[in-house]
Order: sequence, then structure tokens, then C-alpha cells
Amino acid sequence: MKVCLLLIIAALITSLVMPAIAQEQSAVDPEVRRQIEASIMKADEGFNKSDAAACTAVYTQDAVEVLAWETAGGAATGQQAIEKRAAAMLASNPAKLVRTLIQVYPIGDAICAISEFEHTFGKKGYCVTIYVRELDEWKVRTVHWR
Amino acid sequence: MKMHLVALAGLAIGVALAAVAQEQNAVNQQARQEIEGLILKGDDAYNQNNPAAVAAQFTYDAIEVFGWQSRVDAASGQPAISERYAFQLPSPGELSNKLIQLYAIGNEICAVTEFQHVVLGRKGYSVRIYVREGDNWKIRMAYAN
Repeated sequence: MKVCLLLIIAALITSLVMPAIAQEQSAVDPEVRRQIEASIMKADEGFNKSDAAACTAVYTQDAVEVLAWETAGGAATGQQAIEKRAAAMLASNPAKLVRTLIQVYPIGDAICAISEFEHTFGKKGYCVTIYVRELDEWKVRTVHWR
Repeated sequence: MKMHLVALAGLAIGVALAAVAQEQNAVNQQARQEIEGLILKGDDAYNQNNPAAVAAQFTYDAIEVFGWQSRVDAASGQPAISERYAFQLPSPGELSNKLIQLYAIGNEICAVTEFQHVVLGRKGYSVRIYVREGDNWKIRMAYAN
């Protein structure tokens, strides 16, 4: 009887602790995660209103954005170039974007965020974003859309 | 007898939950070994002053971004990446990357490594997106800070 009870307790502890350990390896402060989610939401809202300035306001001035489905590498460097490209895209093909944050990982004082996205014109994929702290907000320094 | 069944069920739940927690974005063992091999090969190439071999790990249209300076320093395309390493490699020092996380993102893999550069005396992180090209994994984008 005692052995059974001990086994049950051990099993419960295992079920609670193991997933926690698996997650802790990539632990980010929940507040930081909320801030990253808010940044994603803000950018997506701008995109969904076809507002290129708003959807790229979360980028650093020297950010690099890669659209992997484009030819010749698909890179745009600098916030202005990224905004210009977004404006051209939204003017010719306005779409809605939904992103779901699936993983956040600390890399020194920056954050690597992986999210899943879906455009209303049917494109689905992932985006890997590097966030850095600028003043009191997280800004996108590099993003790779696939 | 019933208690034994309950205990077994509890254990099964424990193991299953742990597995589920790990399975999200899990990368299969073979791909993991291949990526680890590439990271090792890349470090060896860097430490042997071989910029062409370093750049050969990238796709032709790859982007590599160094984020440790006040402004982002990006090299676009394999030739530019090779040129950058050729310029830097005369005194490369010892570089070693340790793989700390792999995520499957569709058909691609996002790898996070922690690196140590002995001569520069600094630690840092890199995030690399690996894509499949023929039978090989190649870096489509890399960010290091």
C-alpha cells in the first residue's frame, strides 16, 4: 500500500516536473514574453490596416528583413527600405496577417522569437525574429519570413 | 491491484507529458546530428583560416548579420560572406559553437548556438536558419550577437 502511494506521488511529481524542465531550458521572463507578444500584435494591426509605417515602426533603424520566398535573397536593409517594400506590397495586395508566437528564447540581451503566421491570401509559414532592447521597448533587428 | 494500475497510469501520464513538452518543434535525431556536424565543420573551417569553407555552409543567397556592433553589419550573398571572412580570418583565433536549441520550422530548422571566441575573449549567441539544398543543410540566414 505504501509502495503504491509512493509510486503515485513519484508519478505525479514526474508529470509536473518533466514538462517544466523541458520548458525552462528556453525560459524567458513572462513579462518579456508579453512585451514581445504586444509588439507582434502592434505590427500585425498596422499590417492589417495597410499601414506600412505602423507595421514597420517596431523595427530598429538598421533592421534587416528577409522574405525568403522572394528572388535574389529577399533582403531589405534599414527601416526605411523595409517600410517602402511593405508599402508597395500592401498597395498592390492588401492582406490580413495573423501571427502566433510559439517560442521565445533568450540570446544574451536579445530575444529570438519564433512565430507561425498566416496571410489571408493563403500563405502560411514561420517567422524568426531577433528582438533587441531600444530604450524601453523591444524592437526587431532581424526577421526572416518563410 | 487497483492502486498498482493507478500508479502505472500516473507514471504513463508523467512520461507522456514530458514527451509532448519536448515534441513540439522537435527535430529528428538524424537532422540534429547533421546540424551538429555542420557546426563543428564550420568552426574547424574558421579556425583553419578557410573562408571559402566557412562560406560554403551558406546558400548562395544567404544573409549573415553581425549584431554586436552599434549598427547591424550584414553580408548578403555567399560571395560577400566569403569576402568578409577572408578579411577577418588572418587572425581568427579559436571559435567554438555549442548547439543549445533546435526548432523545426516547417521544412527548415532554426538552430541557436552559444559561441566562445578565445582570442576576442567574448561569448555570444547565433541564430541560424538551415534549409535543405539537395542532400545538405545550408544556412539561409544567420544572426550573431
